[in-house]
Amino acid sequence: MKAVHFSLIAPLLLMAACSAPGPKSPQYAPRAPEENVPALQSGPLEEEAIVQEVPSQEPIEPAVTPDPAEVLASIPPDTPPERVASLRLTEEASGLLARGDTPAALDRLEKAIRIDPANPYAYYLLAQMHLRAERFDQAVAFAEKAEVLFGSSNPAWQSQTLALKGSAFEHAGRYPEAREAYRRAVELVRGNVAARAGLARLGSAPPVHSSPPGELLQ
Amino acid sequence: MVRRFVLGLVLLAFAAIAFGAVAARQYLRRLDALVVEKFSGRRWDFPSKIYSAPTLLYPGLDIEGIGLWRRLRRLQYRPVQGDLAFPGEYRAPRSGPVDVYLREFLYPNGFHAARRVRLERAGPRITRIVSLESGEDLAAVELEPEVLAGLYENIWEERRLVRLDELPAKLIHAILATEDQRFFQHRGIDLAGIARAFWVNLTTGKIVQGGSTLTQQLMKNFFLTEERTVRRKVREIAMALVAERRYSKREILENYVNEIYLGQNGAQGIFGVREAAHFYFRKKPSDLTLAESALIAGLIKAPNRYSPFLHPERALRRRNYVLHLMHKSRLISEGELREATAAPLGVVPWEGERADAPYFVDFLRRELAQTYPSEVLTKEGLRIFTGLDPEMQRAAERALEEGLAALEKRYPRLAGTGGGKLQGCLVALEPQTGEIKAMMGGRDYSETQFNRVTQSRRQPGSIFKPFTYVAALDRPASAGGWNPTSHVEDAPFTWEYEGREWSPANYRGTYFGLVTVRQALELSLNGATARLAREVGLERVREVARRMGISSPLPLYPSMVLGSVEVSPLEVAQAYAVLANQGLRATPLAIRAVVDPSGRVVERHPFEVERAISPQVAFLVTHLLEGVLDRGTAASARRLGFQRPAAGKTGTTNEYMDAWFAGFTPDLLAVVWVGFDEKRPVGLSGSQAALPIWVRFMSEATAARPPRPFLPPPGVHLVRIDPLSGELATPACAEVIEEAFLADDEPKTPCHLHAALAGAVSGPQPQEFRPIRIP
Repeated sequence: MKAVHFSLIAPLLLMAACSAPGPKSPQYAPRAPEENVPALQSGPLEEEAIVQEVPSQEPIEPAVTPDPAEVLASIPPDTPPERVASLRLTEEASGLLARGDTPAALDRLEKAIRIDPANPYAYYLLAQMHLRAERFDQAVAFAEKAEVLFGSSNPAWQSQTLALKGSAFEHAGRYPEAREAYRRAVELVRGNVAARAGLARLGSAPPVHSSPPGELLQ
Repeated sequence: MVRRFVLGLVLLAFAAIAFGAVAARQYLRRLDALVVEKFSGRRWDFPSKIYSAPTLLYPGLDIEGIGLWRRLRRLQYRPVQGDLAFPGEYRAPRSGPVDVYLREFLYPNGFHAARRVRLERAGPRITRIVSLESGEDLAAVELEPEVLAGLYENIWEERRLVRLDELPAKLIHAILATEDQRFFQHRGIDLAGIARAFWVNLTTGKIVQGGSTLTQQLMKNFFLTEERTVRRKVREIAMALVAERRYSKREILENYVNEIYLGQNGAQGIFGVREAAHFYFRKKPSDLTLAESALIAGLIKAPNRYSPFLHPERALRRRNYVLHLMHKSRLISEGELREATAAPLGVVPWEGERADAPYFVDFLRRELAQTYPSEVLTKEGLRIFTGLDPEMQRAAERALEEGLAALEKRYPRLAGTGGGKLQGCLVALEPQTGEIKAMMGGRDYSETQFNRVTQSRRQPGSIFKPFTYVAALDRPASAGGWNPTSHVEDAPFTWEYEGREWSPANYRGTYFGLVTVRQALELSLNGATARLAREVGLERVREVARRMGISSPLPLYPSMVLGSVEVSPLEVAQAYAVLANQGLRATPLAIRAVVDPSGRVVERHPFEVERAISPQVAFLVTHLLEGVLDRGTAASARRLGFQRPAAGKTGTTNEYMDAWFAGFTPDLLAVVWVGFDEKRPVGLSGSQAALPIWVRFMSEATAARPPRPFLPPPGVHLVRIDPLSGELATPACAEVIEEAFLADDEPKTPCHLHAALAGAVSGPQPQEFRPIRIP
């Protein structure tokens, strides 16, 4: 059962790490968890401080993604079988998305949600799919659903979801909401590169997108 | 004179011949056009079909709860004892794993090949699904969807087209050996055959035998009646000749095997060998054995006379006769003959049961008609995929029928002769996707096709109240708004609005004085709710109702907040689904996908959502509505045995015209309405009339899945409080409930009523909470 979870979560985390907006650059390449220094630094963080800390012109610090092992630890070994089935379908969807087979991925995600309507990972991927397709309202709505389902007990994923939501808001031109989502993402996980980059981009000046959301998510 | 007469005759003869030639030419041209039309046209006319949702099977699912055996029976799967040899078979020992040979199916997301799977189980629950081909562990598999209806024009018949290449040689041989041994030699008519038939008919003095070739039979099937006259025979022969001139033997044979009449399933004719293979054996033609092929070939002569269901001995004799003909024509060996004649008939009795959802199908027809012309729907063989669950539909049908009958039995006045019958409707949605899972638009479709779920507009009564509470709880108490423990006065008052006065009255004139927001909703208090609405603002309540999915006109008048407007049950279902779906409104989905015969997806509707209200407020109101079932006006649901976490609201309108219940678990929502079409009083409340039907339905519809709680979103705190004071519970509090608050809006002080008893703090003595009756 553990292997199932690991194989599910690992690619999702990598996708999550890669999904956040920002210029395409090598520093987004996922790294081995042990190198990521995954200690989660929670606590309030002033937006101003972040903007100063990560100026938009400067390269962003290496990605700090949530540690898969920590997420695994949050899934109890006695996970109900229907949830495992739902997670496995989500895992399949993740692979299909990576291969660009969106209809098949959507099919798996819908099934995953039918089996377990409280599966936050499925909603996260749905949000990501809609963001790629530039359906920003849908992306926000599904990201919010994932946010609710991840709950406060899962700050790493919560933070990733907020960064995704921020990206959807940003692309929709809803900058104050984007800034707020990024701010909360960084508040939960200081090292959330995507959110920090988002905040840096937004800053106080009106943001200009150099690439469409699909590219930002690569 | 004579010469002139002869000349005249000759001229007349020439004229007659010329006229005859022209007429014959015209006649043949007409026949030719007809033949061409039938060959190129009709065989491609296929009705569109409406499918249910496929059945998703996965570990953790209760196979008894989802009615797996009934689903397999309706899909015509054959139970077997030994190994699974063909798709459409299953083996289900009393205990131990269930093996299913899933059929191939063209889903909107692609083709799924036939495959054998094993469902390992512990009791009724699936523990693991394994592919019997690869040994691989599978997350989930799908049992193909059931056909809910075909969109036919006039003829009620099934058509499944098959290419000649897809048929086994033994079936073709059996047909040719029996019906037309010289098919590849003649040009449409077989003179030897006609001479033989003529002789037999002459000697018997009546037409008892035909020398029809396959081509003639096809022409007869295409155009002609069963009438046996010389004129019809002449026409049949002429058309056969025309067809043979125009088309190859192969084309004619392919048409024949797809057109030939092979039996009857109720009102539905069985045409073509593919349909026959499915009807008699639940098989594809390519899977037919020699004996089964011979049986089908033998049926052509007289399908009902040789029906293996009606006359098995006669069918067996006929089958063996065909086998002997094949052997005589050296098409099968002695050994094959022996083996096939020894085989049993092997037909699978037709269960007759079929997924049926007539109100839903009508609803879909109207939806589809907005996009597709009728011609397309009845002729182009579209496959329309829906989310309807046939077992939930069955549960809805039973719950409504049995529930209404129980009401009539208990209250005989309801079954009185004045006016129409007591009516009701039920609609069930999946809140996350918005998919309609079941729809009963009335008690009996054969009596009335009026769909009360979608077409009726009735007053919702207290069903409307949660909109006021959503609007109120959106503003925290700490910011001048309300939380579940805020107090509201439940007493008579007059609401003046735009120069008019309105005085809401409680049920039976009973008022409770100062109550909490929770008590006001749990007990459905009109006075308290109206006061709350007045403070929140009428426009705001209307805005919330709109956002949540009420699209009917909502005139701004204070009585709106107590449900004096008119809405449809489907609207109510959509609005309540927002609460179940953490504040998101899923676009209601009747059609998931439309696929053309080649498998191309014509349209597809992935589920889409829209933020209607905040997840926090959705949870707060859901939490209040849980109390309606646990303690409030719907507490009888628990007494009736429904114990899952669920939330809901009763509704009863003025003079007891309408009885409602709208309720949901985290996975499924259902709305029930009971009343008379002609708007006369039912005399029963929502909890008396609609709630028992809801309980019947939900008990069955949710049985397959484990109970699941409503999950509080971030930003909501669950706090143990004393329900009387609304303050933090102390050890001395006699009753303690878990209440939901927006973050930072929870009470901060211990219960002042009981803290004194506990000796912790001093304060006012507890007051008894009792209703005050206002005359």
